[in-house]
Amino acid sequence: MKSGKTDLQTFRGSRSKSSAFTLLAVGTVLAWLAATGSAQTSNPSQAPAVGEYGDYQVHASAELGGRFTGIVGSGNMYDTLVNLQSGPRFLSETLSMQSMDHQGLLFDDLYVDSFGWGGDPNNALTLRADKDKWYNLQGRFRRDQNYSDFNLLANPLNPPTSNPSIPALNSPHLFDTVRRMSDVDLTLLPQGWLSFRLGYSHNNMTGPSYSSVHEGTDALLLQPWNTTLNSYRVGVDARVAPRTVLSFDEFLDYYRGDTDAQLAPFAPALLSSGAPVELGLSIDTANRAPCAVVPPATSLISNGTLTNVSCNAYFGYLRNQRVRTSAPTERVSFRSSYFQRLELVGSYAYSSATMSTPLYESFNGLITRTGTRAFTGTGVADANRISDTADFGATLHLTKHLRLINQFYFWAYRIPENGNFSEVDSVCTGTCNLLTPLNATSPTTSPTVQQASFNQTLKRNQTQLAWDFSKKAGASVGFRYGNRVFDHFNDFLPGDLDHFDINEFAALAGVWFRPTRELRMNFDMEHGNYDNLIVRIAPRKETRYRLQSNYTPRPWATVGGSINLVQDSNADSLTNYVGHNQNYGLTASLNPKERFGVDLAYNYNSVIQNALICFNDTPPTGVTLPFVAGAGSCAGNDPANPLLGNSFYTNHTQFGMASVRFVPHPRLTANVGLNVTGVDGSIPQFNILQPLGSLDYIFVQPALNLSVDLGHKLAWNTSWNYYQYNEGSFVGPTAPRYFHANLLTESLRYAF
Amino acid sequence: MRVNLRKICALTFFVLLLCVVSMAGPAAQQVLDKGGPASKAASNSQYVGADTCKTCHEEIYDAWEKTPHWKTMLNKGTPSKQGCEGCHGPGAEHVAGGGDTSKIFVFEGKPREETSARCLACHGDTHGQGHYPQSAHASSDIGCLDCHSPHHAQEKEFLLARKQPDLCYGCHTTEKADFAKPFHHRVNEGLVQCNDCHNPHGTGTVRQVRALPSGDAVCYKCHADKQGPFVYEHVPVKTEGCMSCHTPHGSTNPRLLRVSLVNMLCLQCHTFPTQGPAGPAHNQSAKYQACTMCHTQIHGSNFSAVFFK
Repeated sequence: MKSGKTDLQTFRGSRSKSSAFTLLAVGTVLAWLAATGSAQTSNPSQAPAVGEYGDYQVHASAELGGRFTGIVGSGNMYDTLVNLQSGPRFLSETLSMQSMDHQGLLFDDLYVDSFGWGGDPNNALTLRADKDKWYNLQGRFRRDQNYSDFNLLANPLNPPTSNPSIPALNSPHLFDTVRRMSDVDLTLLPQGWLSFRLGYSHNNMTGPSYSSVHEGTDALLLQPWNTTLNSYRVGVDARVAPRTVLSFDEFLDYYRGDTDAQLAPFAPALLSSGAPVELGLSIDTANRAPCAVVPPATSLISNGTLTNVSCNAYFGYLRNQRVRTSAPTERVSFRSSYFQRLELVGSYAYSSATMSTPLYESFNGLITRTGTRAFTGTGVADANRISDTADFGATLHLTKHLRLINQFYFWAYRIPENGNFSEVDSVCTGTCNLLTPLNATSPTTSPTVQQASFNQTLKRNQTQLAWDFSKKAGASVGFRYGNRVFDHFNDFLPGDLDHFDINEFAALAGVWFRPTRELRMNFDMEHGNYDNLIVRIAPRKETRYRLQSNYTPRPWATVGGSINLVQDSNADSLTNYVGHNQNYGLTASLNPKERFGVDLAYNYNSVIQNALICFNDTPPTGVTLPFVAGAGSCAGNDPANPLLGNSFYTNHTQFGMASVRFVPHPRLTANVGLNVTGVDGSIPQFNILQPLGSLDYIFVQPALNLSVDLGHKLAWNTSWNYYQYNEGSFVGPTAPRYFHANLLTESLRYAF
Repeated sequence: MRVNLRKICALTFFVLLLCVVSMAGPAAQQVLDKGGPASKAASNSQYVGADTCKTCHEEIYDAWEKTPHWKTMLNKGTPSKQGCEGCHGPGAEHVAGGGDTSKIFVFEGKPREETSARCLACHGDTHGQGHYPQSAHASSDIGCLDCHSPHHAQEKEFLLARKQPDLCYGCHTTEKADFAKPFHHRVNEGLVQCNDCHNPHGTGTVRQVRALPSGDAVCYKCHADKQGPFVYEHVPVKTEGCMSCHTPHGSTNPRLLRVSLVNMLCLQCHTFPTQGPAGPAHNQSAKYQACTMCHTQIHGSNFSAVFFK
């Protein structure tokens, strides 16, 4: 599945840089124009100081080098977690130009910063320029490559006893996509009584990815990913009174989803007629996936030929959609501290999104359960999302040390949904197998008309009273009330409405201490109750505690600690939901000398999530699965899933980090560091082949970095990184995920 | 339990209005120095100008001169908004007193409320900072100078005391560990910043999380294909949000899932048909495979009520 990666990446790589180069070009032209213009006005008899050009003080750096990677073990897992590959790199580039009198020709300040060019999975470019009262310009380009081959989310678990045995060693949902995001925001007259904001964002994701479709059996699909979101923003701020601003914004989002899907090979075979057929991902002949082996044949495929033609299989599959969504949004907002004791902020936004897409789907093969030899699906889907959003915040200073804070939030949306589809099935009239010609089938048309509406209204009001006892301590208490009404009109027929009305009541409290200038502590808590819920694992009770403290006994030493506890529960006897996320952390940063510094961190995280579940499970003879053997009866509640069990998920994660920086010689700086994340936990096992997931591993990442000042504004940097992902979980019929890798990065940095 | 929200809102509004009215008027005690030094109505003669400050505080002046705050020197005719005295107040008495620090506003050691009010006198009405007085940071006594350093900023942009994310990690150690987990949003790599998703100056929602103008989760700015609207919405995606199934910062599980096996996540809701959506009838031993093998469009579909395509 990785064979197509290189060509596609090369193609994508050439496109990815276009937006960034545009930003870079803008910055370069601005810099050149400004510097040239300023240089012409300066006295030519005075030679500029180093780093000064015209009226500007200029600092710039560029770092060129390369990476050398050696991987042992699962290369796909390395790509999933790290993905730093060998090759030359333009590692980083910075440029800063500051007008020395803050009155530059085109700009007063210009900053350009970028990293990761030439093949790293993450690269970004930021640009910022401003000219005092005239404008602020911010631009950012980001590109991230996402490779994922972790076969827990799509795993046919083909058993070794199947014939043929074809384990799925790569994830059927493997993807290797690249997302490119550009954001440009320009504020004109930022300090004027009337200022204007213009913005544009572009988000494009492309690349090969795989998926699967279930038609009789599961088939592997290739879906070249292609989605684009363009966002336009226009806004105006008016300072209508002292310390009072009224704003209006218009947003337009336009989304295009052009991802298609087509059949990809996994288990090909030939019919006796010589026609190629695809058996799909699930090859478990004992459980008739895609079908059983019929004696006298001993295998489903013999000499490349399918031995059972009454088998779920695909000759072809194709699906096209062209999703188009446009979402205009208008927002008015204000913020004011006009009144001496009162600070106000508020906004209201109306948004109306419209989505429409045609559908074309064609299947040619055999679905044995329904005797379908082929089908074609066509139709049109459209949906709207109409939303109203409002918030209002007020802070009233009752006295110098006592203030009342109120925040109100409202969000209501409705999503009318319309679908009008038609599927024409070619259903066998007599004997049905893969050799049955299509003209021996009769067409059956199945129309689908979907008309539904998905509505929710959320209101939340939070009131707090905050009291600063002194400049050394303060406290706050508060209360949050929320109400959520959810209505799902499934088809607008009587009795087919899902209606939920949920009230939230939460008590809030917090204290802070700064007993000395060196020590600060914060504690806050929330305790919430919900009188109803929509989804089963939403809590009826939720409690959060957070304690954070920092101690700075010396200007060069900071020690910090934090405790975060979140506990959820729903004591309903048919749910028995309980969850917690407990986190304890310590950090220390010690830099006693300019030539020596140490950073340390440790964190322990405990997660539990449990709810009662009903399931259906009959392990093979001779196999005992503790979770199944210990299950109770759920037959009275769910006859199709007669077993009852607690789905306890536990996860204990420990994270440790140490980093030492020292400068043994004025021209040499060294950094040595180590990051370790260790995980252990448990989750019930349903099936003897079921991989247990990422619940038993140690991820170790030591690093060493040396920087040598070579003089002449040059520095030589070398760094070594080591990655070891040691997953000890049972992986079943999936590929082992262990890897370790060495990464050496050499570079030369020029800076002035 | 049914509570009339309208009554609660009306009551809250009434209490607020009562407080405002009761404290309005010329006799009202000045509790917040919103106008900064200008509100003291000092005469221009009490201002000495930044050049005078430089004579004693040259090192600080040289650092400050390189920051955007120097541009306040260009505010012609308004000495209360210029240079050092734009923040520290009039300096004539301080100079006359031979550098007496009690005669000028010194930020160090002052309560957060007072120091932040000085900054907000100019920055309070800018975009994105309107919610600061209601923010969790303000309630926890985190002021402007806890993150910004006007004189000794390590980061030129926004005069941050330290670079992101280290600045945030200084207090939020839990998140530092989360972003070090194998599956994480790329904050440490420099691709994503904390303030892409959170507004440290506060928002209208809880935990200072940003939202799109339409009210939708900020997650959709990057994960645009998940936003919809869809003809078939998966209920928890829209009603509970992404965090119903994912952890936002980092996870030991692929795709930042809350549990390591996607089936278990699905089964925790799709069970007990009397309580909600029915569960699968597959025999888990005969045919165990991830639910998302078939239900591929789990965030919403335009053509399949069971999210097959």
